[in-house]
Amino acid sequence: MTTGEIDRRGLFKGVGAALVIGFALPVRGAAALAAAEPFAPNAFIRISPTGITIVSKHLEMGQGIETGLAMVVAEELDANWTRIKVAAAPVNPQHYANPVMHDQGTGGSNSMMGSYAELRDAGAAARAMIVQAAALQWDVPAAEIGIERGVVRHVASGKKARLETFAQAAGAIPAPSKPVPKAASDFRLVGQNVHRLDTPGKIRGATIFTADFDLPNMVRAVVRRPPRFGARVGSFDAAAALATPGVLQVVQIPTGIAVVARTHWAALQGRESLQIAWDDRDAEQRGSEELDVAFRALAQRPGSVARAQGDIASALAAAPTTITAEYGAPYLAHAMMEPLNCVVRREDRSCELWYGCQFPGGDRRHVAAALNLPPDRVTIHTLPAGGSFGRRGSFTADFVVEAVEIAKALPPGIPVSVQWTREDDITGGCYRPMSRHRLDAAVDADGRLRGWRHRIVVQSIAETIPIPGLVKNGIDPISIRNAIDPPYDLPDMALELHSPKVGVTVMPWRSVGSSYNVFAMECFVDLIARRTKQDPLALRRLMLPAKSRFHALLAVVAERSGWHRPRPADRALGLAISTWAGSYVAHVAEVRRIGEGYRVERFTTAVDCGRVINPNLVSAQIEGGIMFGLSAALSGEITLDKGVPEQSNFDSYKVLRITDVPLVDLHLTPSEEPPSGVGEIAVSAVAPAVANALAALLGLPVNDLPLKGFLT
Amino acid sequence: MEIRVNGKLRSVPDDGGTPLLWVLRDTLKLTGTKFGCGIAQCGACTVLVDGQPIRSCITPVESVGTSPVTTIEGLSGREADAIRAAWTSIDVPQCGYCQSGQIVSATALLSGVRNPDDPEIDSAMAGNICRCGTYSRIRAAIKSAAASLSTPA
Repeated sequence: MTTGEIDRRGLFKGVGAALVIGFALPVRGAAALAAAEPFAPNAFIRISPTGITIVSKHLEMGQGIETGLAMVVAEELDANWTRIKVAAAPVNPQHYANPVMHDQGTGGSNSMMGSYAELRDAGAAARAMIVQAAALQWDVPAAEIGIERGVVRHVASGKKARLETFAQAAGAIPAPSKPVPKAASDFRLVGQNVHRLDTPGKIRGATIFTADFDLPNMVRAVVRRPPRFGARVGSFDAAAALATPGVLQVVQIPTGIAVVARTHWAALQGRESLQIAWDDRDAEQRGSEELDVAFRALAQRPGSVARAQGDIASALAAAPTTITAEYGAPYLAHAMMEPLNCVVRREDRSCELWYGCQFPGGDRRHVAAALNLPPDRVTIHTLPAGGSFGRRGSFTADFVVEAVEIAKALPPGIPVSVQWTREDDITGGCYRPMSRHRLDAAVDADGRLRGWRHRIVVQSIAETIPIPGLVKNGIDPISIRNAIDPPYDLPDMALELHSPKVGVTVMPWRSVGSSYNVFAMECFVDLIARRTKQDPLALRRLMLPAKSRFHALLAVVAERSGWHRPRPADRALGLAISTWAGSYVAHVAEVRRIGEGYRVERFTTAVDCGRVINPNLVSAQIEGGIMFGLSAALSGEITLDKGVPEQSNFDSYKVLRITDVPLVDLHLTPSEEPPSGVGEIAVSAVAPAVANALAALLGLPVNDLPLKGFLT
Repeated sequence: MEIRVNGKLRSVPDDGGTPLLWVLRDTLKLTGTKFGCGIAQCGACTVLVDGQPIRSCITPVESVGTSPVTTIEGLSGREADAIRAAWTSIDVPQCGYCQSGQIVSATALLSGVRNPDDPEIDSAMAGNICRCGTYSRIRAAIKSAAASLSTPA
């Protein structure tokens, strides 16, 4: 249903035709690449006489991936780093699939891991073609040609020229079937603290995010969505909204009521005037307390068996000592600084979109389906994103399809920029799910852990992913991440899962399933240590297999945190470890009592993430991961009152500020292993490290997140 | 209505109650100043009015009059240069969305306090949220910029 369109359509008249002429291509993106017809040895490299462009198949959302990927290519090309630019890849899963996802997309901390070998080959192939072109032109043997910092050189003849000079000639050289990347010992860029490519734009306010992207005749829209999850529009009155100056149209879409206006402020004002009666018949109406009661009850009952090794039931029955504890973690919003947004321009038989696109493959399919178009009629221009932490990687493309639904109600050719407010973001669901955990451990007479049973109660995220077969035998693989394969030797171990249905929408959130499972497991290990009067570090060493990569990390954090040294009575340390995307982390949190409150003073952190491409970028990800985890651990919490989120903005959804920031002493383990993930690895062990430090300081169990009750 | 932005008098058609943020972004296309919360909680919209940092998301444009408004695009001078140089050498930004506000707040701090200590940095920067967690680098960069300003060139 559309209201106001007929009266106001005149406002749009005539603008469609002007767009064809007035529309300028964005600087980034595939179209800009194609314009100069550069040397394109493969999908990742474009070399023109004026410079080198690396095509990034991964979304830049702050993690520095564009700089990292470009470094790998520039290394193999022996290019001059100062002449490297990066462009976002177009949608083309054939060329740009993520090998872990089997589709084009960014997530799971696997961008460098999945691209490293591919980009080394791509760079080496391009280099070989450039060398061959130079050999032909100079009539010298290719083996005598070298490239250094972008200059191709033949020493004997004294010939030299910039790499880009051979762009055209190299286009005629066949690509080598087996490119030969450099030996790691010859790396000049990889492993160095190279500055980020995106800093100059970001310190001048010049970087164009989706919120800043403009097109001629573009209109702005905001959406009023129901307060309760699963509710629908019953009836609405748009008269007052339509009377708001600047408001052009009010549109009912599947997710709510959209207000379209000339400016964002006018759209917001119009939205304030909407009168909507919500139909709550299918809405989730339970509050947090009811959900908590239901989850606690489920935790006492056997769930679907995700893993059973040995015989934990008999071990628990026979053990002289058993230890039982329960843990809980709340719903969390992603709250990235740039709230969700999307620019759409729909034509009769095609559609273009501009936004921070995290899943180009899936998003394009969803948009095409919403418009009943073949996917190749949908063009996505990926813009840098102001954070994501998982939110933009929507399996249903929720915010993208919603923007398309609004565009469907507008005349063809009118671009619309749909902007979420902070309240829309915090109350909008797609949260990290709340969880409840019960752990039961069997301990031998000599204090050794035989094993544990871990029961998880958490909503399924995989159920929302439109890929059949992800959930098998009632087991969502996302729900059990890290709990299915604890790093410890547990002769008897069982993992059970309950996946209760709740109307609240849930999504991956930086570190996904590990964010709650590692909290429960690592707090439980400390509880076992306390009950059996063992040092938590010594117990972990005892439980870890001899060849575990954690031993080296534990040695580092023990030494640097002063684990074995005496400390004042007002301070305590807490340890926790975790894995993610092939990487390993050990955190020691130091907590200090200040009056009636407490403060996290310091993190001592060791990370093994394989080969470090750029220590500066990796450190930034680990530091940022610690702050993200600490923000959630201290105060992150979405609670529901009769199904309505009780937090709506940064005044009620408290996040970490500069005043709360601990010192971070970070150690990256040198490694020759292939690079593994760094975006999420630091997050999940933060909360248990702090909780364990608090438990040690207070002599009290600390079982529920957030920890704000314990901290000033 | 007229407002003075980055040294220029600009005529804007907006209603006087419109927050300065949206006049800057939608009308004047100065999009370096960001929308983050709309209730002066996050600092992404920070600009200088008469040299003082304010949250443009809750500041009606009519309340500014023709006082000089400085946005990230127009931020210049010794302190701004020192802040940007430190931000670059320490690689402060990650996603960068909050950084316009961080840099405006940090520049205002250095314009008033030559060598800020930790409590002064806390008090000047506590209103600027960064969800990427660049806070340690922001603190280090402010100290580095302050040190560079106190060293004779």
